[in-house]
Amino acid sequence: MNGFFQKLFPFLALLSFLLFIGMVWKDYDSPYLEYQRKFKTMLDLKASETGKLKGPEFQIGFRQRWIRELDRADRCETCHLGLEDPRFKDAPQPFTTHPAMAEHSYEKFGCTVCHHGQGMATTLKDAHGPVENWNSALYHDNFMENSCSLCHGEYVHDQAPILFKGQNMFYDYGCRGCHKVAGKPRTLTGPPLDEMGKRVKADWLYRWLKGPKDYLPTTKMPDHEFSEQEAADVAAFLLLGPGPEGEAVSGNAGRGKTTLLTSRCVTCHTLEGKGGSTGPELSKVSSKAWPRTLFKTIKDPHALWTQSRMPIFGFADKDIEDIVSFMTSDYIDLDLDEKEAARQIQLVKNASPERGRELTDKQGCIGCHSKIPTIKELGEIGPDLTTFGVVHISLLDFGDIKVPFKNRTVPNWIYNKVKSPRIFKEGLKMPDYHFNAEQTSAITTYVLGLKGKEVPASYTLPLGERPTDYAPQGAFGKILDKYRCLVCHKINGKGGEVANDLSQEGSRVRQEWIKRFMKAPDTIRPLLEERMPPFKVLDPEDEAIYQYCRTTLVTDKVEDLTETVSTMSLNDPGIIREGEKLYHEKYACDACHQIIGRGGLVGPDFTNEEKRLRPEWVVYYLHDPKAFLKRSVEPVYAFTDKEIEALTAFVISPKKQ
Amino acid sequence: MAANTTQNSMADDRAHNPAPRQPPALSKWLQEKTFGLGLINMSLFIILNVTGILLMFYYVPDTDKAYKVIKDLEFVINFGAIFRNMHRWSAYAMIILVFLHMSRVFYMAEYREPRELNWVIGLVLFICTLVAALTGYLLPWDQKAYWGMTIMSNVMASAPVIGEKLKFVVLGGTEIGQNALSRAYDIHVKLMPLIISTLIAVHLIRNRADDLTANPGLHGNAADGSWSDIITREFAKFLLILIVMMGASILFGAPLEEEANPSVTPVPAKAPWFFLGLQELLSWGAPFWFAIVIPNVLLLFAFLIPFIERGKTGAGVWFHPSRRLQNILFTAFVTVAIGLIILGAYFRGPGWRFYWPWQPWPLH
Repeated sequence: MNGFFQKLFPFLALLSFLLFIGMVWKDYDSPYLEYQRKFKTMLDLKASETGKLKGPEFQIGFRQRWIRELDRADRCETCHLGLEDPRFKDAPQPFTTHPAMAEHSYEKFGCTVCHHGQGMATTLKDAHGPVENWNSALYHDNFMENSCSLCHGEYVHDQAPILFKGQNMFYDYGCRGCHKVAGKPRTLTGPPLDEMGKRVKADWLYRWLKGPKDYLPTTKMPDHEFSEQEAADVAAFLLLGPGPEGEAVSGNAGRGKTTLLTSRCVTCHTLEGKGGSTGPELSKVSSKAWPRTLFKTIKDPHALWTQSRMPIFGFADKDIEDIVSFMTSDYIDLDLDEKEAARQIQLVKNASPERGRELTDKQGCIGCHSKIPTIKELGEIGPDLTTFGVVHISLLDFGDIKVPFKNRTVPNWIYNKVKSPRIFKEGLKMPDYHFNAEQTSAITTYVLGLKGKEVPASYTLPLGERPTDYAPQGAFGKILDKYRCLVCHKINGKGGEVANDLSQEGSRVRQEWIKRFMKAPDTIRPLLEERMPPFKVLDPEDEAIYQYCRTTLVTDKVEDLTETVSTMSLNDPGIIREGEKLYHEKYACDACHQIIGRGGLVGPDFTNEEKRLRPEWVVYYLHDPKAFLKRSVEPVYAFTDKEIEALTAFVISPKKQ
Repeated sequence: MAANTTQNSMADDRAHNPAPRQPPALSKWLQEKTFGLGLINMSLFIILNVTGILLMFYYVPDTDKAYKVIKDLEFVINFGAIFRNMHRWSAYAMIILVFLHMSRVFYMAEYREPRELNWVIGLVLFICTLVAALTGYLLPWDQKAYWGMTIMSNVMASAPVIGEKLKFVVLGGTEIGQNALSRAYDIHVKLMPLIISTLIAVHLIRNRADDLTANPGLHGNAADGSWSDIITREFAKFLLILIVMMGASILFGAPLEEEANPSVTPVPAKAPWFFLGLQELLSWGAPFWFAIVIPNVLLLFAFLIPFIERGKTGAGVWFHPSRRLQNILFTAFVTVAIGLIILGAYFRGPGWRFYWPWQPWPLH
């Protein structure tokens, strides 16, 4: 026994020495060395291309950037060696130049503040993740833009389109109705649900609850995946109370059709496959709503739903009756099976309103819809998302689906949840919005950006337009509200993108034209499907519009040109002829603009411009078209002052046949 | 060394008392084996000191920096990861082997007169090993450390009357923060090494002295051979331990979870594995009985064993038939202790409810 260990001694000594060598080897043999050697060769190669024998001196070893303000030490540069060297733009990873290094210097930002991952790690797997015991894995390219919001806010329209889209979708689709996000107001996205019995048909409501997208593919209402019985229960609950006020209205359907078509409803509503998407599709609306409801909606949509985007047209009751009468006879669902509809009505009749009430409460319908009878304003039944972007992965349950470890990341969980909300488990409440991959990525990006973490003030740089709280008071404010002008037009940064920006309208067009156009709008841009609807603008209203435009919606850039324009001889026939020549020959404006039916359709029609545009405006616009409208497709020519004078004179001159 | 001398004394013992004795049931091979556990533990203690001092060169006991230093050790400091692995695995090995050493002494009834004091010293050494392991557990300042310590301080707080005060004193506050880390660090790198090395010295000296008391006729180390032989032999054993530890450190990395975060509670939070039995026990009933009374009575009993059990037969061999009751009681205790740890480690999920290891845990 004693001899045994003594004999073993040399062997043990040798073995321990070998293991010691093993330790040294394991410590020395870091994978980053291979990258650094490769990079050194590449540097030498680049140097030889420029005629030098050797590249700059390259020191093998770890590289670390300590960003004190962000409390981060990033060692990514140990392998990502070409980060700041523009010559490596097309080099393979890990040497590729960072595409946005100019704005985001490695010096100031490091890597992980935007990209996540483990900055302190020096092996590929540990640094990129996902690894056990390090929560933040490197962001997938799809979701990368979420980090922009950390410093730049959420309204980064041009540089972070995915984030911007996600941000808009989050509030448009009413996510905020169930999920709290600190500092963000709740948005009520759905109509009020009181007096539903008066408004919609029982079988339609049943089908709607069963599958909203079947009736209206563009709806924002999600699919709650109700069973037949559940849908009937909820419908029964919502239909409690008074029933419809009459099943028809008397009117002349033929006249109604003409009124409907000339009123340009298609600007917002799709009818028979054509039209805008601001409002719902109307081809089957009479299978949904009772005629009195249609009547009331057209007469005053705001009385039924204060947030409705539909303007008050100001039709006479007779006209509305005609329109409704036409809709009742023509806009019905032809595929609807009478027997099936009868069955559905019966199903709703036999259903239990109490169970329906429970379901309505449980599904949090109040998050998007107001005025649900007997249900209190609560909402926000989903988890608080204020800091969900940095949620710990251990709190997220992948449940029934088998996800390999490398995909068990926070972005992946959010993506799956948004794409198919009940994928993880039976009995989850979140409804299915049927988002496509692109939409899901956008929402995921936005939610990932909700970090609730503040970066030092020196890092914040808000980009993009924040929504303004432009809300004029008085007569003009009431007009804006009545005609819902801001659904299509934008004023001072608020409003839609369907029609042109009106912020400088007062400087742009003539007084008489505003008044005439408000009374009887004609076509300015022949190519556009969306046209200004012919509202029944009352007499004091057009004056108020004009006054407001002329005093408030003006820009000094145009107004200050009055003196310049007064020195121009815009009525001189010689100059007009010169302008006409430039228009047709040198600049070929007629490629896009039309005069008396001749010319292109891209730009506005110039036939009657002498009645519409102010000369100051034309001068201003020709100087720099993009200053007025960034997305203008007008080519920027360097016109001389003389040419501008001539072109202005021609454009605002009366055109002859 | 302790083991060898003991073995030696037994041989002498037999020579003086040649009373016929039934051979134990287990094979002859095991009969008088001591496995050199004392020496192994001392080897581990040396490895722990050497690697510990090297780690100390980098470590900063500051809640903001500690975790980052460990990450540095893992990723950029030469030999950092490997020495940390060695330190961690040696510490865990030492806890197990000190316990085995103690069990060996009990089964062979070597705590009896005149070795009562050495048994007590050995027991104190075992407690010191646990304290050193526990304080070291907190130093990386990761989730495992933070929440393990939280559990331990809550166990402390469950003591009657003085509980909350005790927790306050140990943590240097009402919650785990900089003060707790500083205290753990000082205890781990100053107090415990000092106490343990002093006690090891006393343990060894007393062992030798007790051998002589028990066997007045014993002189020298005739059976052990010359000094150089002894040194070669013991050094060979040390090398063997070193080899095992180096091998383990090359193959297996010491765990390091995410940085301590009081707002993210692991589900469930578990004590360090060597105190997991205590946490498991605590879940059975009133903390006063299960966390305070039972463990302390057991501990007190362990200290008093040599003064209670003063039998004359069955010393120096494994599982002697005349000590059946003692051995059964002790084996039962060991089984329950290990069972509790295994139960706590593998069969407990959220809310400390029972789950089979293959059963998924509900997260919400």
